[in-house]
Amino acid sequence: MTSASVQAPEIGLTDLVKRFGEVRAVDGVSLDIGAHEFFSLLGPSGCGKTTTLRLIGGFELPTSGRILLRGRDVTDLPPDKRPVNMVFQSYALFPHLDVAGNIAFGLKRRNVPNAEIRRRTGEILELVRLGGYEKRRTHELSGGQQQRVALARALVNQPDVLLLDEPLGALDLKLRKRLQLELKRIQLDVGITFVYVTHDQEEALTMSDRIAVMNRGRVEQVGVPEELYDRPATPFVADFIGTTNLFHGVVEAPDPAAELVRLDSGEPCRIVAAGRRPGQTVQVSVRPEAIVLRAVNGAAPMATAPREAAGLRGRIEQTAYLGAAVQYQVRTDGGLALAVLAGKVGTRFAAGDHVEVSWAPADGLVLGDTPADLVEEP
Amino acid sequence: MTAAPASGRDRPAILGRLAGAVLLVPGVVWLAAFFLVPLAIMVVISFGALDANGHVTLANPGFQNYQDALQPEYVRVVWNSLYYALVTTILSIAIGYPIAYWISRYGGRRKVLLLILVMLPFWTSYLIRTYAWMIILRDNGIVNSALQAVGLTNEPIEILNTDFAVILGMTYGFLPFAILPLYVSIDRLDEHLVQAGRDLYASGSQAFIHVTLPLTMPGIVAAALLTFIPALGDFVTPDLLGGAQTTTIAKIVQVIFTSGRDWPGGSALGFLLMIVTLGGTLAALRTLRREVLAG
Amino acid sequence: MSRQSKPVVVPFDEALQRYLTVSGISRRQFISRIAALGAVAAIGGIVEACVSAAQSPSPLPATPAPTAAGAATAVATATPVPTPIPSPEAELFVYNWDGYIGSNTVSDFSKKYGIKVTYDKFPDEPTQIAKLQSDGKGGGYDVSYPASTWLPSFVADGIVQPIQPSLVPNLANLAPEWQNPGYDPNNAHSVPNYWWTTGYAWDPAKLPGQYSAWADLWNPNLKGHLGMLDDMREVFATAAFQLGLSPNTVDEGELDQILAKLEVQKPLVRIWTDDDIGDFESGQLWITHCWSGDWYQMTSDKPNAQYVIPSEGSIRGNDTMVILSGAKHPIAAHLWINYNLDPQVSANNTNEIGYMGPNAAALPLIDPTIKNDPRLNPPDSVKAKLVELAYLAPADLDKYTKRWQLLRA
Repeated sequence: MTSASVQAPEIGLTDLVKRFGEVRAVDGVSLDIGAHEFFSLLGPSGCGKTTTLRLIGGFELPTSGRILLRGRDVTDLPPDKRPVNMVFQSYALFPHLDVAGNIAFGLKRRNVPNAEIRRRTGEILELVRLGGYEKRRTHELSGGQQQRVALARALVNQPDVLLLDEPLGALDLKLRKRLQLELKRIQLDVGITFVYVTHDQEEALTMSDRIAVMNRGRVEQVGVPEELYDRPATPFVADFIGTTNLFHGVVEAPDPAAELVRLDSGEPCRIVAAGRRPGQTVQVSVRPEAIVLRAVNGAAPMATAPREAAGLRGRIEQTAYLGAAVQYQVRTDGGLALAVLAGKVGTRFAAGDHVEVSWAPADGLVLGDTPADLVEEP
Repeated sequence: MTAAPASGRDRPAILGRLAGAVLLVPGVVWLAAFFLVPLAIMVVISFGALDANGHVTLANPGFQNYQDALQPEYVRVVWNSLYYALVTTILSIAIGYPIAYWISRYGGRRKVLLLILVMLPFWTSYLIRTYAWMIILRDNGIVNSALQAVGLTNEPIEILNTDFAVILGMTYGFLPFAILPLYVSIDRLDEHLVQAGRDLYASGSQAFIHVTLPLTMPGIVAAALLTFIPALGDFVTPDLLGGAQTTTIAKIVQVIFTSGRDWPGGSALGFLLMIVTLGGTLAALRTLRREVLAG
Repeated sequence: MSRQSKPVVVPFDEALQRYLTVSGISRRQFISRIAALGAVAAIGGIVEACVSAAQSPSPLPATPAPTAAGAATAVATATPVPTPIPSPEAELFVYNWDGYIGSNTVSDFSKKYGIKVTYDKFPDEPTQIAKLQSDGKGGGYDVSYPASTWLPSFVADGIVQPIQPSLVPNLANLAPEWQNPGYDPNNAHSVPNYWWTTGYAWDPAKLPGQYSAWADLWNPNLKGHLGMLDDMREVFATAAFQLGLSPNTVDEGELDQILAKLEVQKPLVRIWTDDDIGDFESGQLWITHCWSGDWYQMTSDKPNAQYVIPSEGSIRGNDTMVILSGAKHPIAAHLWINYNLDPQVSANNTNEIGYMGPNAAALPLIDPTIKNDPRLNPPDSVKAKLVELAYLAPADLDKYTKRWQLLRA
């Protein structure tokens, strides 16, 4: 899936604003979501992602802005008049109805004949691998089964768009992983647009075609997962997608090859040149796995001259064995705290070891190339 | 080896159960002393008779009082009682549901205050409030004076001592009993369920009928029971606001006890009324549970 | 209830005399001692000896205990002027009909004797009887006012205690025909209070026609405006007189005829009323079955209200003052009864409530409009057609109750 799908948006949001009293829960969101896309709204709690989803579903009416579904303005329509269905975070299964009754609810409201309802209920239950569960009471089902009934109840209506509000949030890790894959499979099977709200970046990265990262009611960045991870547009995205080390610094020596940045700690660091002026402040993000550690003779005094390739000196403060990798926390001599993720092969370090820290200039991502006078850093 | 640890494990459990049972003691003692014992006395007396001096005697116990209680002439009175109780229950729920719904959904921070306002009439004795209704409804009362002042009628309309007055007074009196359980069940209803209904193509009224109503049914049943049962036995309202044509079964029980001073007869009719009410309630609950389970 | 539980009642004027003799004090000294020490402390021991029920620790009277001088003034108007014994009791519990006493009588009594009176009212006779019978000794009251028909059973059941004539000197005021009534020979357990006739009252502004007989209450035009007393015996009597039957009949066949007659009237009845005066005054009822004194009270609001003692014959009733066997304040109770037999007090009551009393000494003080109104004080020719309701044994009463239930249903 690429941004080409934006040409014929399934959902078009234009300058959506939703205020609750003084709080602007959604503050000017514009998004185009393409047909057949698995689109995630990702962000911390309170970022406006669920409110955005509820605006699409019609459970809230926007303070201003428009919502288009397949080009049709649905901004003021109630939920029952919109060709979208929702999977609620709590599943919201009807406790007074059995599984079949839950699934048939939407079809009955639209006067689908009983035989047809039975057929489609059976089919959809097969799709979510709950064949034969028609007569079960919903409270007899496990969390994962309830989740699948909620999914079936929405999908059986063959909506244009399926909205999912943290549907896996209540499940344990293992089940969540399995259902992520299953959700993805189902989405490919039915071929409709999924708009998926989550605060779990890993989940979003695993499942989504595209992701909108939201913060404080606004969209920080929209892109495919690799884009967001490798080229975060803002410090917030860099920090929220995966983990990263963020440094502030001032460009010192403009250089066509690699510009030198003097970090706040007083230590030097090289970044890919982009014609920045000396004195410009920058934020540099370095992913933990991009950092290379090298052993240094414990007794050796620190080299007096700044080393090439951004070599910094420091000591291992903590180590954590993660199974597939080892995570170190390094304190540089200048006082920076760095997270470093190293493979299991190669040298293993222990707390207290002296190390040299380095990364390739290309791995030092410069975020928000802002003119010096607009940067709010103290 | 196996016995010792087993008993060691069991003892705390038993102690825990005993400690739990202790909590029940005040309630059980209270109910036994002030409900079961009087009830038992009533049942015993109901098989007795009056001696020559008008005192209760159990010399020849029998079912005579129960036979007397099953007079075909009472059908009309029982019907009156059922009719008043039924209409009162329906009206209380019909009026109480929107009020409870409104408080729960739109009461906001004032919910508690609004609930206190619902309970406000209880701060005055029911008897006094019923007398107030008499003053309002009587032929030269506020309502008739107003109607005549506006010119809607020349002669007073007969309101007091009619079915209308009885039902009005009972609905007024029992409305709070309906509102409170309705409020609890509506307030407990997960709003997402209603939204799910709307999401699944139910209009506002369909979502109410197919989601809100069935899910608040326990509150409706509680409200119905809390209204219907006391309404069925209500004596004060029909006696004060009713007239010669509105006699209820509770009034007959009173007549037997007072005019007749026939405690065995009154006990028999009273006990019979209680059994019928209890049976009807259990039957209603069973039907309801089956329906809820069957979806 | 068993006879053993009946409290032992020692005539306490004897006990009082014994106490005075033993203590070697004169009656005058005794009275001043009460005044000095307060009633309770001085006489508590005697009362405990008199009545099995323990004397409750009563607060001292708010006003000073009566002195001999005060007591003398109190009876100055009474013809036989004996000195009543001042009550050692600071409280009195009275249970009476609503609106059945002069409006100042209670407060005047309290002022005079320094006795705090708790004056409770009942709305109908069944309520009263149920309360008095509840514990078999008067439900905690000292004095009540049962209708004369209840006396035989109350005496038999030990609900009332004997009157001490020496403590009620005003008994001498009773007219001769009230000195030895049939329901209570020699007034041993009761003192006649007021008497009445039963008839009906109507508002001629609403109902201009002529009304003279019970049969007129069966006129279909009255539908929705007719009230009947919520009183089983009185209601049965209205039909009995029309049928030429005794209002005291216990014959099942006759009672069936009475019931059938009443069933005909039932659709016309708006209320079987506990409050005939209120319902008449507030316009609910244009015509209502009532007692003569009730009609008299209706005329204060509706001066043109009419009353008739129906031509077929009617009920003459009277009620009584009794001291209940469980009375904790028997001395105050006797004082109360004696006070109400005072000619002026008795006349004041009658002038206000319209019920004629048995008090011959009060007759000159009674308002001529009451005394000379044949509806309140009927001539002998009318009196001849009046019947008293008789006490019915439980089995006979049951015949009435069964039919009353059917009528009410």
